[in-house]
Amino acid sequence: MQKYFANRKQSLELKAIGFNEPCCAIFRDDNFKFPVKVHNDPNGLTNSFQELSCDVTAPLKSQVFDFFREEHRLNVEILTNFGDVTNNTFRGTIKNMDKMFKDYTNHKYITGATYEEAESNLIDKLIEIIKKQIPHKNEKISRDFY
Amino acid sequence: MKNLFCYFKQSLELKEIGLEGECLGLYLSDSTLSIVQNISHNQFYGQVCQAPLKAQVFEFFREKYGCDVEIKAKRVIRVGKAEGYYCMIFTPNEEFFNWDLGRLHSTYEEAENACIDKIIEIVKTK
Repeated sequence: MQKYFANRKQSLELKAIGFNEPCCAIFRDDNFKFPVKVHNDPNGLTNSFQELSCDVTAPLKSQVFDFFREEHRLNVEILTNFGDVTNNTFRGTIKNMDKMFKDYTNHKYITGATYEEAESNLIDKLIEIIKKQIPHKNEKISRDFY
Repeated sequence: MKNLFCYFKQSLELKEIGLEGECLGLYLSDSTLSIVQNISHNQFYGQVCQAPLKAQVFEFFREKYGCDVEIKAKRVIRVGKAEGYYCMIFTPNEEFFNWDLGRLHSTYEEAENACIDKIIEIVKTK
């Protein structure tokens, strides 16, 4: 089932940029685990959940895409490959939902040899976009504050 | 997290059309979803049903039936802002790609559910 989840590096970076949604898996000592606690709690666990000694909660990739769509207005579109299974045929784009012509990928697709790889590469790109924006946001906050 | 899983009726229909393997969720009743891990159909009997992730369902359709789904945000040309979502289904004979044309879903989840319902219908009629 691990292929449906973000990897550990992505999970840590997502936490750093503010992802704190309930999750149903964790990374503990570099290992991917399903904590027992979550079984009876359909709301899952958040990074603020302190009882578990875990490095970080592990979000599902679909949760990550929801987060970027809802929090940052970035929508990922993974395009059909029309049954073509040659290398790097899975392609995706990142669209800003409010700025029609904003391009984040230099008019190139983010690709992957498998669907999962394309998803993972898209998550890396989304994180990169937001990390670049964060200094500007912090700058604006401090300007507004003073 | 509930919106990441298929709802109960879909889960039952997916079981009927052959979605097997491990799932993260389990419906204990038509409205009670429990998150478990790596549960397969044959481990449970009676009134329970596996709850697959929507991502798992799209993978199943892609790999078993060659059906691809694209969910796109539709923007208002003048304003540039997204006003909703629409979806397209690509089947090997391309007869359904515009089945949802003109219909706009207010949320992404709603568009995903519409796609899953439609693909179940397509597979059932095959």
